[in-house]
Amino acid sequence: MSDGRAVLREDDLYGAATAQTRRTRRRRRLSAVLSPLLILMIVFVGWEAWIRLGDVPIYVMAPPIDVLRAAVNDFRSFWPDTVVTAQELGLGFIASVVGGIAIALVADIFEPFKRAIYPFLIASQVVPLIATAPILILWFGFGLLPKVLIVFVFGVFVIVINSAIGLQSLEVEKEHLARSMGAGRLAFFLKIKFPQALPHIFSGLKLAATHAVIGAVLAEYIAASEGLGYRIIAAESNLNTVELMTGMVYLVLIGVIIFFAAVFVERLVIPWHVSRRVENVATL
Amino acid sequence: MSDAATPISGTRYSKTRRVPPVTYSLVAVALFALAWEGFVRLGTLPQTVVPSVSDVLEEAVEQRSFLLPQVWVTVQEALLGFALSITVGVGLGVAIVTFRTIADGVYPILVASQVVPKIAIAPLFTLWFGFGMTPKILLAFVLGFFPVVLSTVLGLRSAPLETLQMAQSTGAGWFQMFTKIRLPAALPSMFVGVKLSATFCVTGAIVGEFISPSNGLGRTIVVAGANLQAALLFAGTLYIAVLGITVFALMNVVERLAVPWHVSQRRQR
Repeated sequence: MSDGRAVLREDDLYGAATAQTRRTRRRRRLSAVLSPLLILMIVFVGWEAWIRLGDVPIYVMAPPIDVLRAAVNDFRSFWPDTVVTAQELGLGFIASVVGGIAIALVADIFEPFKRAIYPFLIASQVVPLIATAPILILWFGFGLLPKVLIVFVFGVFVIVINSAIGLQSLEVEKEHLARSMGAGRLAFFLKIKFPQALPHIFSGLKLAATHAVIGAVLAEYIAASEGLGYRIIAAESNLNTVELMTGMVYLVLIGVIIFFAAVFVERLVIPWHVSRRVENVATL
Repeated sequence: MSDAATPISGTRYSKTRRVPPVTYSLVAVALFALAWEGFVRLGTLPQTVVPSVSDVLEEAVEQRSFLLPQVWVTVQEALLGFALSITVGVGLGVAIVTFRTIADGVYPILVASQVVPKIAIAPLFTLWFGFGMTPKILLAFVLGFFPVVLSTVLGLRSAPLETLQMAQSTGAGWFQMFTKIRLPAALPSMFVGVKLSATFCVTGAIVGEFISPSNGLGRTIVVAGANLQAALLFAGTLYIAVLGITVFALMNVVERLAVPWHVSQRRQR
């Protein structure tokens, strides 16, 4: 749990078990921050150089500077599509959270239901969920609804699985203790069982957010007339690499924003758990 | 009420033993299929876009001479992407664990890249490599490669320190320590990543076929949807589902063969 001791262990895994001086430790921490930045800069510069020096035609790849310039300049053109994609994501994600947690609660209360859906939950993790998209598009066409449904499908299974795990993770002794002190069923659930499940639910939410973005993008790739995915596909068929990469930049921004929003909400709701987890990440 | 069988009530214990858990899901599936079939036959659901269960199954069997070669195309794409994922993934994982500079530089970028929707890359691949198998193989690789790297790194780092120190004190070289201690200790964790990667590779192949259709199951269902051939669409989707489950079952068998000591330990629970 404490990262001071972990320094010695980390060093052992790399080689001889030497005692770390304070200077080498500081140097290591600095390199840990600088090295990824350095590599990113090398990739950026190398990419630009490859295109300029190699005379790579614009229909194969766009240089990064042009992409960044377009991303800033064409903001007004990309904004409506960004809004459309964000709408699909927002509606679908909220629906999957509400529906997913509800299903997990029912499964927790009613055991036969849990056993019945269990194989479907496993199947959802090994079958490409995108295969449901053509069916939904056949039924609901090219509008907003099929995209929202696809996002819902992508998100709901992850949430059900994680919420169910969280709900059943309560040690039975705690439940017995609460009962012996006279806690009613609802009070027990609200004060003990549900808060205990929240860390799992939140990790499910973060995972589902990532899946939801993938679902929205895929839905727009296959059948859309607006949205970021549509802009990307349209740019691809026009061999317009600048617009393609710009669309991807916006997409990445949305994904990053959603992830950090989820982290922020998690920090608000369950600060006690998150602070404990940050230490573990550091030792990795 | 929903906790595991309490030691106090013995009857609870025996009741859960009598009914095998699979029954519930089979009953649920049967009920669902019956309801579906019933609603379509009664005309509540339009037959043009909602084929009955019997229609779908009939189509799945009738069209197998057409569908099975499509399965093979998708399998090839997924398999090649998978092979690439494992090769590059394990190689990178070993490099990350061995060389600190690579670990510091590459690993954080890899982890941060998980926030990015990797599927967004697909149109770029289509732009570069056209409509053949290559974009699908590459997409499968991009999707399947990270779980392998992560699980390899975690597995290699989980080698027991005392064993490594003992080996070093008795004069073992780096390569010996790697092949005899680190690698076997890493295998269980690596297989978790490999199984995940196999699933992702199938997904990548199908998605690739959605975006740049030429052949394969993904293309089949997209075209069937466009032609309003609902039965064929559902039949193709059924094939995809079976493919996904088969791949998963196959990977479990491989895992049981390769790391029997760890898996049997799991069965005791």
